[in-house]
Amino acid sequence: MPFTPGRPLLVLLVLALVSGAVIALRPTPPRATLTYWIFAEAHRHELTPILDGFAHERGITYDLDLVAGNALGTRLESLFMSQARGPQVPDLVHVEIHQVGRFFRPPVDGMGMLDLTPYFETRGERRISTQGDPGHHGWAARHDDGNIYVHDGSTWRLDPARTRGDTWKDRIISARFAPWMKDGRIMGAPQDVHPMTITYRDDLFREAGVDLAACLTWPEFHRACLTMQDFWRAKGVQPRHAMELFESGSDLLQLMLLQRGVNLVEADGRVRLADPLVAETLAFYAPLVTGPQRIGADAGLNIAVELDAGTICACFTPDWRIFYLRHHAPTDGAGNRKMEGRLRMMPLPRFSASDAPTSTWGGTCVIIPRTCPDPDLAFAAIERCFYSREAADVRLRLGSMLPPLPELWDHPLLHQGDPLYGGQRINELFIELAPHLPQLVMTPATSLAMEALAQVQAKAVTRVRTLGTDGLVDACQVWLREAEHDLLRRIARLDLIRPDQSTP
Amino acid sequence: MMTASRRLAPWLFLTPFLLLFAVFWLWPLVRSLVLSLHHTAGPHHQTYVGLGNYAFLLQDPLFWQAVWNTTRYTVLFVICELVIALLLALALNHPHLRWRGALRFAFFSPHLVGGVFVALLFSLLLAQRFGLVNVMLDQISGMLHSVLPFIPATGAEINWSGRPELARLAVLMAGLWLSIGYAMLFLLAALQHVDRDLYEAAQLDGAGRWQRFRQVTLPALMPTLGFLALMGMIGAFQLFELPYVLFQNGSGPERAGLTIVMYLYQQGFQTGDLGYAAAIGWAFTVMVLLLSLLQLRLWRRE
Repeated sequence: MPFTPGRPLLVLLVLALVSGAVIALRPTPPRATLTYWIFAEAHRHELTPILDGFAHERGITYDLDLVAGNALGTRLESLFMSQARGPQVPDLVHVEIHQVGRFFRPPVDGMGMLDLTPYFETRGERRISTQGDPGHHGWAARHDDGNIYVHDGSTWRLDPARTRGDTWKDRIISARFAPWMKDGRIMGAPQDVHPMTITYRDDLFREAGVDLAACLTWPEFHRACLTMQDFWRAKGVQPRHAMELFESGSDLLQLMLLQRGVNLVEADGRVRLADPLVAETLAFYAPLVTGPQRIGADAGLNIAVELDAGTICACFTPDWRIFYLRHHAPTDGAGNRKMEGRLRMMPLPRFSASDAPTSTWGGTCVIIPRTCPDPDLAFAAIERCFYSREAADVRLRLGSMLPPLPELWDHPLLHQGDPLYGGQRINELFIELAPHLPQLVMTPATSLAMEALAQVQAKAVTRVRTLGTDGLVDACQVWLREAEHDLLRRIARLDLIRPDQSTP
Repeated sequence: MMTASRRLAPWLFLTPFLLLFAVFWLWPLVRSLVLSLHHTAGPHHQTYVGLGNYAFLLQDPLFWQAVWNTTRYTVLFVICELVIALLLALALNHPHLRWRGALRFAFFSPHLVGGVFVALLFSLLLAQRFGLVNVMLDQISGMLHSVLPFIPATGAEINWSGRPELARLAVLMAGLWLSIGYAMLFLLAALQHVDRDLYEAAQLDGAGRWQRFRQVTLPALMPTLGFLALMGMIGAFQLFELPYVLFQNGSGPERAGLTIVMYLYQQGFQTGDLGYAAAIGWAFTVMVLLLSLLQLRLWRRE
């Protein structure tokens, strides 16, 4: 029978039908028992050996899917909006701190992620076998005899009034729940702490006669950095910037604000953009990145290279950044890191004595989608990957992040000297600072507030460059009030918080 | 008389297209129009607000800043693209030029790699202290300064993503680098179709090179230039990935890189306000449609 449209079209049609049939009839590979979406290669590196052990013990299979950060956010958004069920739904997903706010817009019962509060309130109960077991003042644990004991600083004592020992909610560092909570409910499992320090080129500061670690306040730090820059400028060494500070983008300004106890949008919905502390901090920050008092510069390519070259001599270092510095520090021909032993670490200077000596930058939580087929198994995987001693051992050997469970901070690797830092026990500094970690809150309006602050920062920087610092605080206050007014309009429209909860 | 099967045949052939069109174009369009009339918060929470999103849009200073940024970029981009592409096409059309093929490919090749790659490349080229552009500017200005002291040495510290005017320039440079080769190719093709007799006639009439260009080449290129201006305008209005990557997911200093599509993305995918994002999308569509119609009408009148 002739095919009127012609033989080429017939061939194309047959090819389309055959290939379509092959695709349609191709057997779908069975879904692994546990599907886990992550966005960072470092996470894959750390989690693979832990999940291998978990899967082997339970006799299950798992898929660890590495998805680019932005794509993961969009995929998750689609998943939540479509309320998908079935094999395409992952059991566990990593959500980066800057992405989490957008998932917090619906009320708790309408959110795409499972409320993990019941798990954190009931699982991980502390256990003891004898009253001589190690403990700390205030800890509560269930004895093997079934009773609850409380540690009084020297021994465990029976407390008949208590019905349960400490669970994960009590055992994990409390500040790290804050970013992942909505209306008092825990929507994401914390997996890190990220206390913040400053890493600096000790050799370059010392040669300039500056003991940077002796600076306890930000103004002292600023003066010390200027002294160091002047010394090197006089010797003809340029560019030599004291500190990595962003001219655009408000991340570093925000971590200073956090140190002062300011979240741009607090958990109760109060907007603090026009808080005088914000204007004051911004007016301090802007001259650090431009004008004659400048000490900061953006890292051009990567901070490890800049530190090595001495073009930037100090930077903020949350614990995750240590791994980065270790692996990206330039090496000599023999493979030795050229700045080995030249770095030192110090706590953050403060503005006033009531400020925290640290802050926090970045963070990731693990969420379980509401439509996940087996939430119990998923939570067991979280416990294994982030709250177990075996996992802490693997993660500390392969990475650099402090576990969120203080009981694991006695790990020997956290008490060793770091050769890059001339043998300084940098993890002990992180451990010392972690209890002072300010609470970072993420709300649906936080990203809007951060963007607004970044824009006011850009205005402040331009003003310092063109007009100097006279009247800067007042100008910042005016811009921040305008920005807050605009932000409140947006928030009110979306009914995210009550519009009367602005800065007084 | 036509049989039923003959009458059905065209529809049968059209069915695959119609199905795809309905599922992947028509339904999303209708859905986004409906969405633009709602406030959304997750899958379960939608509130009908009528034209509320559009009313807010009209009073939203960020939207108008995005419109202004996009319009300014579009005007500069289209003018620069057409002028540079035309000059390049004229140069590469010269019969005595050596390596013509290689040069044509070299100028066209950026178009093959895509916006994200170009943005990444420019973020490396423009990096402070280590970026090629800054290092070159430092060396050239340093040399000039040593000879002519009134010319300032720029140094290698120029922060292209830190200052609004430089940020805009960076986006424009990246956009042009990406697109000029594409426009050049169309103009080259158009140049090769200009009737040679017209040049000979003009020459016989005593026309110089400039007059030949103005009276013969340019009129012959007008349809292509019109097409490129329209395409360039539509493409420039859709600007998103260049500033998005160059300014690391942000809109740049003083929102110099905030374009309409980026604002739509921020509202829809960063704030999660899908209803408002849909309204921005529709406003954007209407704007581009009106501008395209205006441009076509002006071009036809010419």
